[in-house]
Amino acid sequence: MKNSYMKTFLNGILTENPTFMLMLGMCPTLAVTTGVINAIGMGLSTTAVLICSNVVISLLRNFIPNKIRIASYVVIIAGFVTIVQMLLNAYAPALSGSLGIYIPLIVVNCIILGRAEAFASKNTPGISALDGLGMGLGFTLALTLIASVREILGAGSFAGISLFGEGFQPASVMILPPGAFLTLGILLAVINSITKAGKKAKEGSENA
Amino acid sequence: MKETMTLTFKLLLICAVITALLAWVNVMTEPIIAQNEQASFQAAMTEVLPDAGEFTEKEITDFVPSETGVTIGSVHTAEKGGAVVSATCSEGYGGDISIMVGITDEGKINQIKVMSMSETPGLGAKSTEPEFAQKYVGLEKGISVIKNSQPSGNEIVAISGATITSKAVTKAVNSALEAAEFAMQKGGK
Repeated sequence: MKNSYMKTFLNGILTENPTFMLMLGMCPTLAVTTGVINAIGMGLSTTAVLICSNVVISLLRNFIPNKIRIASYVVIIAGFVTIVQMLLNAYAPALSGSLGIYIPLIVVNCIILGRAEAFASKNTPGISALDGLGMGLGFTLALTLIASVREILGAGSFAGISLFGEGFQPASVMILPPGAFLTLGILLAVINSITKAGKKAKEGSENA
Repeated sequence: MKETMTLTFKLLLICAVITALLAWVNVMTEPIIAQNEQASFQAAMTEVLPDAGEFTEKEITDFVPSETGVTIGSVHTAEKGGAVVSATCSEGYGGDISIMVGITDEGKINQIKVMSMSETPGLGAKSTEPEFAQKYVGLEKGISVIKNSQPSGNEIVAISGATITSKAVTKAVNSALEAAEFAMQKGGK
């Protein structure tokens, strides 16, 4: 029992990382990773919405008829995101200011709808919450990794803290959209080759 | 037919519950959000024109800025002289740029503050940094934007790679200065 909980949680972070493995939520990934602080803020907000929507959809999985499930999921997710936005605006206006347009974008983040359809609609609330947590944290880690590369190379800082001296000329292209694609593509290539090597090693030792 | 009724009813129910929840959270947070906006506006006014006493809003419906693309939000004159103007220029690279300008009673800029913008991080977004705001201190209306040389007189140097942003902010600042002049003259100071 405990085993499958741990497995579900780690699934979202490693094996089925939504950004690098499932390739979900690409739009916000590219847009939000201009800085580490923004990436972490977006990732954690998405995690909060993901856990809540997974739990609610899991609780309603027997009530929502199959034919209207997508419409229902979207309404529930949009509702949650709007609530998160209102709460942030009221109680954490500084954070809401920097996350600005990204919060409404969480609604159309494919990760949320994807996990609702693939997991929450077919599992109990407890483990759905864990899946939401794992996927959300996996997303946050992926965003932070991409943002680190883009911010360090493109602005010479990390989380707003300047790393190099005055003389450092950052590669501004990394902060702009092309830099997002470049970083994501290269990271995907690196991760794919590591995964492939790992698989080969596993097969090799199993066959031997 | 019966299935359609069930589907419709269930979807209606889900939507109704979500709507009720949204309405509840809205009622709870709306006053707090309005308060926050008021507080940050007041704080910004004090930041761009400190130690100026009470602020009174002035009516400026007859004022038309000489530049296009700028809307004046509000003009507040200060008890101890000078004015604070909030203005928005729609010609930023990524859309609207809203600023607040603190102006002395001699019509010179005391301080500017970029309130909101959607410019590119690392380029136009640098307009929110103190180094950029510093360029405007002491200037008067009719500021022009130059590139690649030392500013002399009523000029500021554009942010490298963000000329459009720099021009948009300058447009807003110039209009703010005009509006302040208008309000201070009208009010008789």
